[in-house]
Amino acid sequence: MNRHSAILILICICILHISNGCATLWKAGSGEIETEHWAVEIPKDWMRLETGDYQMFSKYGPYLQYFLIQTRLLDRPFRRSKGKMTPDMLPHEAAQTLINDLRADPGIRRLEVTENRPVLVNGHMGFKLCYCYQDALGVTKQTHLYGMISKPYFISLRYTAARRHYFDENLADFERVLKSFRLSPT
Amino acid sequence: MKPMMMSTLIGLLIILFIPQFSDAAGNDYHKGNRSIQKQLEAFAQAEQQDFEQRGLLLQNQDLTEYLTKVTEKLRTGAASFRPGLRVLVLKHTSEDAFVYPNGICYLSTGLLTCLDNEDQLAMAIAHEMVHYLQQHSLRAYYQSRPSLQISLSNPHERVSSEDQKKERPLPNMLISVELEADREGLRLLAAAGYRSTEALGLMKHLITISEKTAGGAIDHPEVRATLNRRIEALTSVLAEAKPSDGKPSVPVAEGTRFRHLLAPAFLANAHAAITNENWGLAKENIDHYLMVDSEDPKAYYLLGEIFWKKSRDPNNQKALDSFRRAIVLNAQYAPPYRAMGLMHLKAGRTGKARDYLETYLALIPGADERLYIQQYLNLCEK
Repeated sequence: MNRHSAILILICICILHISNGCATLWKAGSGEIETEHWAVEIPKDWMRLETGDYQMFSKYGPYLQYFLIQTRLLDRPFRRSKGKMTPDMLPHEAAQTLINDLRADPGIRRLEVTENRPVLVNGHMGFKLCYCYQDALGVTKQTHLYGMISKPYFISLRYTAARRHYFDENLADFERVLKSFRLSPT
Repeated sequence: MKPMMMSTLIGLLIILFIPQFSDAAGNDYHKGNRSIQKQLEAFAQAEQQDFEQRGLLLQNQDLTEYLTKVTEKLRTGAASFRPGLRVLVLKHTSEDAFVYPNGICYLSTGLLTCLDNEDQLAMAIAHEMVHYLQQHSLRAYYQSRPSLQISLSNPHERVSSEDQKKERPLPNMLISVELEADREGLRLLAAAGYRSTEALGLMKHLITISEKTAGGAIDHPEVRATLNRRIEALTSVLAEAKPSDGKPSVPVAEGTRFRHLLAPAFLANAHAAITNENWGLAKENIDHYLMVDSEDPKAYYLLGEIFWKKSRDPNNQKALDSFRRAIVLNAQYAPPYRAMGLMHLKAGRTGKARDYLETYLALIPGADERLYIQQYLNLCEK
């Protein structure tokens, strides 16, 4: 085998390895999903991506639409605004902290908050935030976000999708997911 | 100056997102330039609409009129057919100033609140005015597109590939336009009757700020080096200029009078600092504002917010006293009622919480957060 062939084979092995590695990041995500902090029922045919403090679910690819469930330590500052949630925060204060961070994000343009009200999430006092914005490519995205403080975490369930076509298509799925959501007893 | 440099960079980053202009018109230099200018202006407009939508613009007629007056004084020394500069204020704690190709210049409340007098304000505006009048953003656009090979100085001349190699790369060009803006800005300043030496005062403020925030976002060796280079250049220009007696030849605002004119910026900057949880800066700005107007309920409300949010203690007496003072000054001003209601709620004093929150809703029945307040009132009933 000459040197040229060896290099080609090495490149192919690397590509296979990388693509295989990428493929294992997303896995089938349907059915009951249970974590240390919460449990939820995800619809059929959805894929799941699990990272440190959030789980993402998508049917058509995260750029088009996704659900995101995040468990965030309260004293962790938000990236843009540097604001923090605190254990004694009331729902409207937590919502405002989130809005401040969205407003400070230069990647979020034409932000419009269309709804901001108190809700109960699995019996816990929380808030619902609805907003739309344009991303860096000029695509209009829409988000419904439900958040609550469950010490020592801020837990949020978010549905974001391209406003055109995708958002309405999967809104009912998100609402079912929301209804199935329950905090772990601990 | 890091802030102005970064601002120019931000403006230029906008430029770099615009698709490369294809010089299909060939030799029609002016048509090509106008087209690019229009693209830049359209992009600028989109950015500006975004600022408005985010609620970042400070709307205060008195302050706007004052800034317009200063701009007009500077304009008389500028020989240009370009439409005049319009100066707006952004509610942001960073010390920043930048201008868009469509002639809209933004000064941040963070910058305004660190100025000592009108001469320094005029220098900040003059600097941005030069960027605008000399079309530095257009120049930078061409600099970033070497394939265009169009010379700005001679529309009929194409820059040879050899000369392209000699062209200064973009970062050096950015520094050179900053130096040009300082130099020409100084000329506008002097022509308008302001004290040129105060330009150094402005630069020294920015050095002090960058030292105060050492290790932070604006502390960068290149930024510091650029600032120092600009100070050297300004010092050199001033040394060559005719010595003056240090007095301006036109009336300028300074001291208390200047702070009075900029008072809305202090209040807005305090509010922005509270949002960023920068309690020290917020308190400093409120203290400055109260020296100008000690009877403004809004200032006492913000002071109360600082004490409360910093301590996170619903029994914080300074916070409660500040809110009470705001209510005494104006019983119809609603936010301190909400603040006191929430403090009492968190402290478990549901009776007092109910009274204040009900008063708040009575004053502003259509409040944005009324659904939340109603939920909290339900908690008080339980």
